[in-house]
Amino acid sequence: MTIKKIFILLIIISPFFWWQFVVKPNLIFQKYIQSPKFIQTKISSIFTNTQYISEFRWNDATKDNRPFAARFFYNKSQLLINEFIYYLNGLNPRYYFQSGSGQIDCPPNIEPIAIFLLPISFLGIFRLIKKSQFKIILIGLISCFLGYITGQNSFYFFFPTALFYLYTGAYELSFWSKKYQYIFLAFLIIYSIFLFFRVNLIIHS
Amino acid sequence: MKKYLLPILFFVAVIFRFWQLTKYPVSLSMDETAIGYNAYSILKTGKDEWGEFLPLAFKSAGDYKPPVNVYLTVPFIAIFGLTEFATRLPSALLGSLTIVFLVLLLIKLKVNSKAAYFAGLWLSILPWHIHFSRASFEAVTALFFLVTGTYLFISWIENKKLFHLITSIVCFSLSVWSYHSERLFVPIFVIGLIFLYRQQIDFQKVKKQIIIGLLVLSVFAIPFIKLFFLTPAIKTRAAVTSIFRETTLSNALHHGKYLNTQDFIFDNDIYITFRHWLGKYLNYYNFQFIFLDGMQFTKPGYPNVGIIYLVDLPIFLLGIFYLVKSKNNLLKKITLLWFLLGPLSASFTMNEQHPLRSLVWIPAFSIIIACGFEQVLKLKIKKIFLISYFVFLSINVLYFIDIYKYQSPKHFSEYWQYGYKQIAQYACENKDKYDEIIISDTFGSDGPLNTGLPYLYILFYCHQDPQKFYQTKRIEKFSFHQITWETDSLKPNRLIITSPWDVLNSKISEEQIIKKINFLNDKSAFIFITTKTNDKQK
Repeated sequence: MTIKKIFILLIIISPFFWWQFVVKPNLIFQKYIQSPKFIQTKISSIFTNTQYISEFRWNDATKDNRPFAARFFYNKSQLLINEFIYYLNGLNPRYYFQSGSGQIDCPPNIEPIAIFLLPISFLGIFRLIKKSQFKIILIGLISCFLGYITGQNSFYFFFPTALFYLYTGAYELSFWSKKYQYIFLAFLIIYSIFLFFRVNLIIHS
Repeated sequence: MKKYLLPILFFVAVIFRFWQLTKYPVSLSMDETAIGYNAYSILKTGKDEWGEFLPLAFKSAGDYKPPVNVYLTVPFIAIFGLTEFATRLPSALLGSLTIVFLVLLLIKLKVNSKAAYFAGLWLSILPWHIHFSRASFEAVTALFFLVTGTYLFISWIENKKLFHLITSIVCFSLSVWSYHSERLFVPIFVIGLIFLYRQQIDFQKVKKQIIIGLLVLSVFAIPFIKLFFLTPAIKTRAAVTSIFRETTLSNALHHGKYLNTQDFIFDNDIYITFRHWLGKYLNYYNFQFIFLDGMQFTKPGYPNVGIIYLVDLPIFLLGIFYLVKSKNNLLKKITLLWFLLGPLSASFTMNEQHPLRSLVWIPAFSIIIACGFEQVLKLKIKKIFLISYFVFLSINVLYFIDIYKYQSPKHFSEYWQYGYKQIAQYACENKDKYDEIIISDTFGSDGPLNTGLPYLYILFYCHQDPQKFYQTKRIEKFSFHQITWETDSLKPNRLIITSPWDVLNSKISEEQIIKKINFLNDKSAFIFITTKTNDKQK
């Protein structure tokens, strides 16, 4: 099977995708309409939470008599560094392959993407590096920007990264022999059916 | 020059691990005190604090400590006496020596020697390893034996010398005996190593060596198996820290009582447990934990330090890039094995992202960092890169020192049982003035329900005779219990040392309070109160 076909199949069987048809489909649009407000709030919040820095500075400057160290180590650049790491955390595999957001945008008590695809997606990333396909890696790195900049722990904004993981999974699978491809995909479809019924059970209990 | 590099790295490691060793962390923890006193007891009587002769698991406060650290501490107690320095010295020393064997291991794994030395430097100044090396943590000892064992195993693969095989088995076994995490990690890791090197082991040729090796292994394994099946030593610890104790998991489980078949199939306990465990396991692969706040030196939300320095992020990514592209398949596979197994043991326990339980993960990072350096050395802009790296590294190191020396003690002096040392020293000096010293086991500023083990500190700092203690289970002139002011205050000529929680609503005159100790965040820790002397003494 070609990457394209596998990719589409993986999207269709992924819980985060079909869940959108179970919940109210207009929710995603409501969220997107609100996104300018979310972005504004996120940007303005970056430099507001400085109380901890002030406390450390105060400790250093008054108790330990080290005013220079206090200013050198604890300042707003530290907040920017933190933000950079929070940005990278948008790629955290746990979010996509295990926990989800825990909100209405994700199916409850199951993973947004079938867990068994996790090692395959990472093998796909390694293969992309090996084949120097850095454009796709870069797209992956950028994919969580929307989720970060809106400051919302919502799958509606993080789904581009989910698509990236699905693509790398499809990329890896496309290198497998047809026999193993079919076996794995059949297994994945059965597992996704299991997840579908599990969600059904949880909703109705 | 090259021959001086290892001693220099060792020296750097020693500086970071021995500088003001007794001052940071701010106080001996309960575990350290127990290790120190049990080592003292073994030295003086050959028995632990419970009177058991040369035990293989130290019951201590009921947590059954692994024995290696206690026995390693014995010679240092013999030389330096029962002191904080002697207690912390073995871990600091083995932590420093780990750097030497890590470099040797990396070279054995065919990493460029320059990159291996860089990785040695990286480990010698790594907060993750420095902190735990400074406080007599068993995990540091276990890691030392694990790294050394791996180095010796690969040496054996290369030269098939029986000595290397035996010492490797001894090291792996000591690693298992040293710390709980390694009990799961080492067996899986060694099986993985044997599998990876299977083509280089001619099992027919080395049959004799393997039989001897198995005999050596049995010397360590049989007592362990006996301990596992016939005593509570290993099971107790596993049960106390088990993932099943987490309420989020135990509440979700059906415990075999399913309502119907649908429940049995789609909400099975095995699936729920697997999903829960997986979340904990994947939690370790988290940029925030690794680069920002994994060390938990300060409270959540405050500036913190990751398990590796932030400046290492580009080197780390380059290392992954190099490994993926590398033709050294064995190196790739060993790194992957170590990287995936590293947080495994920790993920089966109840705390989230535990840097101590995942200490066994360090060598995986070391290999990736070494590969990153190897890649840097191939860059055209390597000089600029390295200069910038070392400038930012220096800032990172100074930042770590600031957090570690100035900020962390203010946040977590309580966590290190700060105050018990001061109590013990005061009580020992003044015990002749009182008929009895009553010390409350209520401890901390969070609430009245937390307790500590003050008796351990009295044993340690007052150098109590171990034989007397394990025979009577009492310390003369001392008693330890929660203070009931109404009754305890009526006893004449007593010194009551208590947490403020125990006497919150009691009427105590200022004259009776002779001393106060605060935690380093200025919250009240202990109050020393005297009761009235009786008429006879007057």
